[in-house]
Amino acid sequence: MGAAVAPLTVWRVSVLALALGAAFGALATLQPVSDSDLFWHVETGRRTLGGDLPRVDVFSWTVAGAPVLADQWLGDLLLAVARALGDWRGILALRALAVAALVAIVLDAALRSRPGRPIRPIVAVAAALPAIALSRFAWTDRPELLGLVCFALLVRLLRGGDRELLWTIPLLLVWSQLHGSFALGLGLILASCAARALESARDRRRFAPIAALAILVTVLTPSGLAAWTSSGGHFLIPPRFVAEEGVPDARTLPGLLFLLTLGLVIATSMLGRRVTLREAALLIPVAFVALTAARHTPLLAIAAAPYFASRWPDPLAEWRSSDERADEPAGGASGHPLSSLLATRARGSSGSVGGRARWAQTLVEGVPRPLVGGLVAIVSLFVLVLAIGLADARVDESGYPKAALAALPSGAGVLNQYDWGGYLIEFAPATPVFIDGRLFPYVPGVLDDYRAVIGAHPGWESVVARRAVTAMLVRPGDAIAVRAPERGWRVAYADGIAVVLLR
Amino acid sequence: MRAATLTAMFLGALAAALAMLQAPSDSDLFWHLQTGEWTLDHGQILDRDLWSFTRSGTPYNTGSWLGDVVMALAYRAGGWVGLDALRALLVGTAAFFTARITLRVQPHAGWAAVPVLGVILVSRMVWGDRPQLFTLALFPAVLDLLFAARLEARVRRLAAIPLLFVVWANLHNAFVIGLVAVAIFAIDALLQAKPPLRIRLPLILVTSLVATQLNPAGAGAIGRAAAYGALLPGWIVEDRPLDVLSGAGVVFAGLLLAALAAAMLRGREGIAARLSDSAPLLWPGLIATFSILALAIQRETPYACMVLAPFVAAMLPDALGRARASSPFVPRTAAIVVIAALAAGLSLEIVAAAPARPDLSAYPTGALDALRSARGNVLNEYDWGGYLIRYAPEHPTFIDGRGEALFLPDVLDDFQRAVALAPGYREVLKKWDIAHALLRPDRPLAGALSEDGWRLAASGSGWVLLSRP
Repeated sequence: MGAAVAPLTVWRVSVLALALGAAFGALATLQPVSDSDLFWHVETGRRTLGGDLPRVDVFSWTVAGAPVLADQWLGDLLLAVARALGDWRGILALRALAVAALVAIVLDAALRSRPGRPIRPIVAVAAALPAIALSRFAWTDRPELLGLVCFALLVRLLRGGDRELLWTIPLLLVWSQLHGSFALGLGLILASCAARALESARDRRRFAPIAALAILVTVLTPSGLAAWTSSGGHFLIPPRFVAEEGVPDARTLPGLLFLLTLGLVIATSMLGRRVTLREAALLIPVAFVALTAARHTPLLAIAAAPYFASRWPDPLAEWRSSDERADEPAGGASGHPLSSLLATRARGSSGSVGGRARWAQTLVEGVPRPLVGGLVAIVSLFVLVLAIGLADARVDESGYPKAALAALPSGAGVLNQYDWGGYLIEFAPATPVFIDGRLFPYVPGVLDDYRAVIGAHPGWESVVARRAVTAMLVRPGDAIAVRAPERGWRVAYADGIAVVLLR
Repeated sequence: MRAATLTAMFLGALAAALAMLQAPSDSDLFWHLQTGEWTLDHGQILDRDLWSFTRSGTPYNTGSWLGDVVMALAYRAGGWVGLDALRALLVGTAAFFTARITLRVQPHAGWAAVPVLGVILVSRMVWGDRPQLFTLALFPAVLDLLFAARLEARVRRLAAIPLLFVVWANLHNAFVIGLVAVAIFAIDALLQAKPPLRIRLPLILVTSLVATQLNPAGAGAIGRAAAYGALLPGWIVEDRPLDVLSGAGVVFAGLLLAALAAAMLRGREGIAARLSDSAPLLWPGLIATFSILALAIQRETPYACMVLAPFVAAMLPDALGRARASSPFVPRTAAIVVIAALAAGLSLEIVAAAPARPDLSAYPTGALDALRSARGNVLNEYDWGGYLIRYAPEHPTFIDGRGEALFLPDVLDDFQRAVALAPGYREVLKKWDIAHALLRPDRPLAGALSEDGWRLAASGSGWVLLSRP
């Protein structure tokens, strides 16, 4: 039975989170550096590091000099520092550390989800798996990953008491400098304050200053109130043509994983114990945000991990106790035969549940606890450092027009594929871009023109003339790569990745 | 009569009245209608393509021969108004049964009406005049029988379900979602219910499965539906994932999140106390399955909402601490007067307000004259294929709404390659000897053909007809 298992201490369990975090951090280094947006983030951060925080566009020829948001300045700065310290291996190291922190925080929150009750490490790991699996698709080298870490920490804090609620304010202050996802954090803090006020029997107004402070710190950024532009745009009107801003799609692995996670949330809510208003105020808004766009789907899995971990042991314990009741001689005739068989096999294969607890106790208590913790921390750090050191830290340019760069003219006038804008900013600085992943400076005029040309829509030639486009760097499958040569454009270079067209 | 029944009738009539005001305009309506007419005229089921030049003579089966025939009969009986009346009848039936299920668990008319009105709004996405309207009506009808058996022990009515499936499997291919609902109830009964339901519901599932074999495709009908589910054809808008920021998506998300909030705040014990003391697995089984289905394929959203509505109507007031209501009885005379008034109102609407003509504003009506004098193959927009089958029969289509049944994969690939100017588009035009292109003006192909000297034979709002020089 569950009660027979000796509860492990929170201290030891945190070590488990640390170890698993390090393991996944190490796994994250297997993914090469290749994200297109990384390059403009690094370049922006490099300029900030040099004391020149870009407030106007310096990378494109279409919106050159136009105001740009500095809402991710700290995230960009961290990426630039990582690059400066260790080149692309520094970027890998930052990613590994962020993933390790993310996994450790999620798992730790799951492990601590049942205060005062026996901790179930296996259930906690199972509860954290959807979050780890879904966040895997966001293990990219962008400030977005740092935003996910902040979100996981916020979830951990909002499940705590009033003291933890206060800690959300400095977290939000840092988060709002890192990434636009801080807006969700602010919303959740406000919802939590409202829920706590409703639940509180006395002095409900004490949450009002915290809520006000939370709002205030989000405008203490170089962009001020304008930081809300980016967040609001992404959350309320996601640009659907960007793949990650599309709706969660069951035909993709992340979409499928998300729908399964949502199914688990639904089933857990209907089969588990009731939650407090505070917990519902955390999960329901996150569920809605996660439904809006593919890039937000990990949020639900992260927020739900401690919820799963706190609820799943109940039906498991019920199932176990029903097995044991079924196995008792007096009740044996009325029990389900399959349950009895499974219970007998479980005891036969691994001993009793109490036996497992003794095994865990012997394993852990045979060694002084600080020594265990220190050893695990040292081994985790070693694994992480080793993985970073051994990883292939070159930029994976297999999806980029590396060979085509030689045929690319310098100066203004080149229309480039949207996905290659960041790459050109890093690897072809003499050729300013038409458009890149920063998106908002280009909406709507430049983006509309880009889509008209890249799709060879009627009137594309007039757009080209109006914008004075003299060259194009596009994919061979783009309609314009087919149509422009038919209209007299010269193919200066072509391979399986890219085509360079000259007027 | 119970006030709950009368409320369900009112909501059904309201939905019917709304549906009747919509003019026929669905792009697939026209080929469904032509199929039904052909079946009635020839006394046999149409099983080969007659209307395209890319698939001419190819065997196919859309799984809706009876639905097509019923639509053709409605048209023969009353013209376009006949189709208006059929649509109103089916939408009204769907709303009535959804309301009845909801009122079974929430007799308070106010609390029940809000989610049911949400279902009616969401169901507008499938009000197009196609056989899918039969699924819209039959799904809640089957669900109502299942709920009556599971929650109120009205087991004898279950015998009607296999009979409904015999008809449903010939009306529309989506009968499979009904089987999914029956399977969830059967699994729940096996795990939780007492006899006779524990035996009866699995038996109904098996009988229903057998019943669905009684269609021209036999077991192939279920296979086709399974293949459709596995493919999740994302090239048709209504088969794409649901966007919760769209109109229907907002309503669905509202219902889903309300259900989640109520379930979290009340927990398993609260749900058991309020809704299903003996069926704790039923609600998560239904809601999780159909919500995931809706998010994967947006045209399934109304069915998810039909499952969510009763749960939300019952549990949300419960989570807010509202007392349970009971359904009062309405005197028979008063009930008869109300029903008569509803019937009279709907009859009056048929005569006075039901659109007597289809809404063809989305179609290239102005191209018909030019097409009649044109010779050679026409590359047409996918959405206009059905319209051309009915209004320009002298020109077989390149492609039309019989998509997954007839044109996958190569004709659809050719169509997409050509209109998007993908590499090889010229080979497609050559391969099918395209002499005319009837396209939306913003298609890359329309611009390219104009630039290449194709003659603008005709044009109008939202369409161009280009002819090879």
